[in-house]
Amino acid sequence: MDNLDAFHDGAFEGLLVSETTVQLFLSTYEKERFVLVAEGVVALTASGLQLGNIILDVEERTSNEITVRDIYEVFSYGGVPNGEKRSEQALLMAQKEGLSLIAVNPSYGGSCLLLAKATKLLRFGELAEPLVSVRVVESRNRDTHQNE
Amino acid sequence: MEAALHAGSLLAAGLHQPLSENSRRGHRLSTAILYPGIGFVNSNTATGLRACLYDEGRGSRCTAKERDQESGLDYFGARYYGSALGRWASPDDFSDSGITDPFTGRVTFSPGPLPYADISNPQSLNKYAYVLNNPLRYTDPNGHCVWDLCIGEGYATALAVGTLATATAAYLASPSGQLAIHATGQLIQTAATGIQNLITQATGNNSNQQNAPPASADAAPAPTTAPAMPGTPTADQPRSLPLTGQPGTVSTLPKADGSPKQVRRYGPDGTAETDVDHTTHHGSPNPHAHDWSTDANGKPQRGAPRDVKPDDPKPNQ
Repeated sequence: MDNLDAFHDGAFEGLLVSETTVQLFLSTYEKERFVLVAEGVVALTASGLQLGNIILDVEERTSNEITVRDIYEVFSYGGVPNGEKRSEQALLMAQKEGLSLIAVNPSYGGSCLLLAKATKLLRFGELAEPLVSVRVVESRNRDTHQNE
Repeated sequence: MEAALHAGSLLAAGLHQPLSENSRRGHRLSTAILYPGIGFVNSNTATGLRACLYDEGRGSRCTAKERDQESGLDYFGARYYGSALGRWASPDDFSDSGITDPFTGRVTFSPGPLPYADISNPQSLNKYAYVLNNPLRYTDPNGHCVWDLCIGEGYATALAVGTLATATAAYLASPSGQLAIHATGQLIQTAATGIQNLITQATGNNSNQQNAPPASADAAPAPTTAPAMPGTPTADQPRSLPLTGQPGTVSTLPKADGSPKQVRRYGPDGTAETDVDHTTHHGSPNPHAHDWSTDANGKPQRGAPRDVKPDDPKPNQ
């Protein structure tokens, strides 16, 4: 994935969790809006969301770059019995399955970590239009049934 | 009560009966000896370092196992041993350590071959026998293993005659040696982390904050970081800097290579005052600075990027 540097001083505007697909809504300092779509998500943790979140940076780590600490955090193993051992086992699993880690690190506000099989960065319009179209179609169908 | 580590377990490895007081004294060394243990781990026990504890008050045996007062059996972790009979109270049910599926949380175990079983040695096929029926030579650290075989006969013998370096190298090069190195390293790292935490608690010194004035009652809490993970290069690196800190202090957020990613100074009220970001973006130079302010509702506001000035916070300031 390219252009993640552009999110420095941008905003973490939200996230949508739909089964194993997660969408992170991000914008750049210049207010360009993007959606980072993660598919096959096996772990996610997000915290500290506030009004006016400011992104320090967005990192992507490949399976070979993920550390035990990343796993420890994304699985929220803090305070879990054998959390360190489980982190090491999960790291091996993540490397075996070729998972990658996305980290949204804040200067202020919300942070997010997720572990996923695939990620892609889309401009907001590329994703939003199909969703709007589906809603319109559903609405028309409902109107048609009511008229019948 | 005096407790000391001695070499009895090594020089007289396998003595399952208590050593006499005199013989223990005779074998005691002036230097404590810790030596790496077996490499495998099961669900009940984990052996990384092992020492034979000599406690004059309690008269511990060389195996240093706890004796159940009611049954008279010695608890080895995996099973109980009856020293009067020289037999285990139950057969060896050795299985692997169990694999935890991190995504489902299920743990599965599978029976494993006895680590000491050898078809050419009938003594090794008796699951009730203690250390191949040769306690004068061998001992068992956890109920699943013949100690001497686990760590390598060459290692123990060579250590006893003083050629420690050569034997250690040979042992450490073996697969079980590698596992022992891993376990030992983790123990040392854990100990180091614990010592560091004790020092931090005793001195109140947080290495991430420099020039910290004496803590005041209304000072904001020190930055928190994720728990340190043994063997992880970035173990003590937080992902972001806290918005509050002790007034007048500077915190540095490092990159993976140790260079600064962000430097933050806290103002008189303990909230962020100025950030210096060592990143390139939106046409601003690297590094560049941001000033913090608060709006009418008290919400922090981060200003637009600007050039760095001489009095801006610097890493390790």
